[in-house]
Amino acid sequence: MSASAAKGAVVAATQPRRRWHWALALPLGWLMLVVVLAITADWIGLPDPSAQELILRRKPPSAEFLLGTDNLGRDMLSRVIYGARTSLIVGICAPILGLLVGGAIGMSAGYFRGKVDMLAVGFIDILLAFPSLVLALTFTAYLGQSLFNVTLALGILSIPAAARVARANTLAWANRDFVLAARTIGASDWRILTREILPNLLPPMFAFWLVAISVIIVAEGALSFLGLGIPAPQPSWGGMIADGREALDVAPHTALIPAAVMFATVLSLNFVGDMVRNMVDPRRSAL
Amino acid sequence: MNGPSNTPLLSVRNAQVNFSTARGPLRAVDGVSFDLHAGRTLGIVGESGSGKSVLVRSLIGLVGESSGAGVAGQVLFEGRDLRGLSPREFRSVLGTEIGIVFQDPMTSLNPVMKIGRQIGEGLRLNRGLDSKAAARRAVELLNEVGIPEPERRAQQYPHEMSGGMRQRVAIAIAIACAPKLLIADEPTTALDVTVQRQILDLLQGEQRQRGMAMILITHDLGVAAGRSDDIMVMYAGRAVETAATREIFRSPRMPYTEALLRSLPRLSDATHTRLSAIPGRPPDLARRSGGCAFGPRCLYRTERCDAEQPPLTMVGGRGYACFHPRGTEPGGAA
Amino acid sequence: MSDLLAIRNLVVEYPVGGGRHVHAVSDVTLSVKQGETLGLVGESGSGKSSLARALLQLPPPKAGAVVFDGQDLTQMRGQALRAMRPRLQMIFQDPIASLNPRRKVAEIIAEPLIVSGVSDAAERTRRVRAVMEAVGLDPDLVWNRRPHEFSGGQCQRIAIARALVLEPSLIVCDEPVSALDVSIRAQIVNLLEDMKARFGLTLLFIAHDLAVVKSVSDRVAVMYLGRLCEVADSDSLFATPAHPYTAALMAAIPVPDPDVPLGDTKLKPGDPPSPLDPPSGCRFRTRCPHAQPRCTDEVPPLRQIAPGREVACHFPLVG
Repeated sequence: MSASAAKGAVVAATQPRRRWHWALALPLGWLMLVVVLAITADWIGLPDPSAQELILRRKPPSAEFLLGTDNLGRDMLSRVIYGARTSLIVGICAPILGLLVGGAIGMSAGYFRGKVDMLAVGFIDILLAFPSLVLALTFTAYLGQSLFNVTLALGILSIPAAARVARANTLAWANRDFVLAARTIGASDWRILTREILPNLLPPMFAFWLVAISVIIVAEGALSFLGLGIPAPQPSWGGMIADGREALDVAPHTALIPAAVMFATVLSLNFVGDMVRNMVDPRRSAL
Repeated sequence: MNGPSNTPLLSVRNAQVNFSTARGPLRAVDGVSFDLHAGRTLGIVGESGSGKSVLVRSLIGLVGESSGAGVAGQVLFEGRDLRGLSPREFRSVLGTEIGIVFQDPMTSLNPVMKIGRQIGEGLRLNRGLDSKAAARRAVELLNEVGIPEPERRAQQYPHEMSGGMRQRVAIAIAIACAPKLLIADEPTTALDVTVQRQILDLLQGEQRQRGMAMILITHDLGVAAGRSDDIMVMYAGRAVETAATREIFRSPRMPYTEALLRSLPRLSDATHTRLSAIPGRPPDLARRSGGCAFGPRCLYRTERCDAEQPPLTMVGGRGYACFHPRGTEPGGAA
Repeated sequence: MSDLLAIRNLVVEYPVGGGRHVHAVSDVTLSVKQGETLGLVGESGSGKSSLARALLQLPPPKAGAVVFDGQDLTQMRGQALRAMRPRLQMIFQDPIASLNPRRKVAEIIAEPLIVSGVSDAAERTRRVRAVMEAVGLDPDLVWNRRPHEFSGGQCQRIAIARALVLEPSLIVCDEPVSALDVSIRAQIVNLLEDMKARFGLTLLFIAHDLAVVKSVSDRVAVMYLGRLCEVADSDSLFATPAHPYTAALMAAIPVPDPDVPLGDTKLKPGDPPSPLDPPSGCRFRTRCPHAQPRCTDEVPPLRQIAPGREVACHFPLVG
């Protein structure tokens, strides 16, 4: 048995911990730029993103309009930055909702098992069986389009995945001897869930959150593209792509710029998410 | 080693294995040399982190550049330098001349391949047998390693067998191509004692019958005592004592070996006899000091032990890495 | 000495899918006297760990009684059982897995005190420091560190400190040294012996290593495939094993002395049967060199063959 420990040590030793890599500076830098601009958009002297100047419509990028103007002559730079605000609010908040609800469901299922698990898994499966975009479309169509409703709809859609992550991790941790040890001292289920298991779930949940942000940003884009996302005139990346599609032949920048910004953001999030997942891998962090 | 004086089957000189870890470089194996003669069994004994498994895995290329390790030293197998071979030649030596049995047969066997096929694979690849001949030979081998109803068992998958059976299958795979050297890396650690006894009997029986040399890696001094001709004790990546098995147990020279033997509970002792525990714990290989690695735990440590690393000194056919070796009688007969 | 713990007709079953059950423990009756160490020996599938967990009601057994200090734990529920738990503690095989990797050592050892309502932080600190010193840990060095910073032996000391901090009556030690390095085992065995004397503990010591069991146990019980084979005081059990399985187990132990010849295995060749489908009659009969037709038909009951010696065999080797 001490030999298996030896083998573990060898495996650990042969996997050098992934260190800081210069290539990560690019995605991290981009994300920081997007976040900072989204937060400070009101104070950096941007033109009103909704102000129309029909004479100056579909202008290519120039010194006056750094990213050009759209179909209604609105400043693209301003709209991309204010759109980042929308995308980030939805992208950050919706998975938090999913993690809170799905995490609670998944933890209960993984910890209590038996009937609780059957019910939870059934609920998750039902939620997963609906085509997700159709569900979100129905949702916003009935409740009305607003930032809150879009976030709510996408948050509900992220519940099953979050619940699965929480359940799988809880199953793994709940069988560990330290959980048994907590029971032998008479700890309640609530105390075991919150004090023994939850701290071990936080790293994988955080990694999930990072990945979910990028998925939700794309989903929000798709909703807006279909005209059921954030209502006009509030800018969002998906809405901008939808608007720009009409003039793709004469002014391709109106669709391509928001698409490129979304692409870069999602890609950066995925890179950083992978890095975080590697860092929180218990076999590595145990070193 | 006090084997016959002809060329050894396996000769290892100054083997080193280095890993780079987050906490800095780590020397898992530090200048180990030994010879193994045909037909002999060498027991390599050590605790976790002693480097016993890494050493042997590095000899057969399982630990190397692909796993992020720096490997140095010379490995001669029948006079050929294994480190100088092309990957193709090396694979052929591994497939035909060296058989390996690992600790956990559940992970060393392929879960989705019938065991008859797994045993025959080496024969097809290395001995050029056709599938029919290989399958026939696989059944013979299953019979030889003591598996009842070998024809039926050959058609089964590993999960349909018990742990002891799977280890028998692993042994059948290892000996299929009639190797000259069998490496058994903690072959019974995952098994129950009554099964362990049977597997060790099988290994020893095959080794004697086929005249193979065997390297038996174990943390259990009891296993090494009953099954090896010579023993090499490892501690913190170094060979600290080598001698014929009987001499190691009767008159250990290295204080570590002595302390380890004394710390073992024995059935012959009365209940509640206090064990003579070794204080402290094995050193952290990433924070190595200049002196003897066992020094901090040693009863006989002096200033010299802290300042210098004692080299493995050969006296009368046995070796020890200690400035203050135990035992006053002359060293065992070589 | 009176019985601190009496296990009566204990049955533990686990579902394994397809409506089938593993009979992990079948009708085991066993007692542990106040202040003694009872060794429990068996191989994998013997049910020794299932027995240990069932007596701690983790989970409660399918049938049978576990009488601890006059109270049947199997009849207790909820708060009453939780209030009883601090008196029975457990030490696990894998010391690293038995400690929460995200919590600090001081928190881990203080947790039992918090759960059992010691609300005075200064009092908790005092007791945690005292128990750390008792198990040979320097409180100032280990206080704020996390389990992965320690070796297996150190982690086992932490786990022992956690078990001791509530001053329990009984500690179940489930293979407490088998995951540790050879040079560390004796330290932990000695520590357990010291703690037993210092805190007046009763120990149930589960292991597969007969030499370690003999070293610490006053009495020894041997289990095979969910049933007890033999219960006797340590010295007579190892001097003259009465059950053929005990004899086979002793013959299988590798002795660290090359001058001791490898004797007869005292076993018929073949693998242990699966606990899913144990043999009828005596469960050891498929491997027993002394098996007779009667062993197939009749389950041998545990019977007394000498004062303090019980064996479950139709043809015991002694008595």
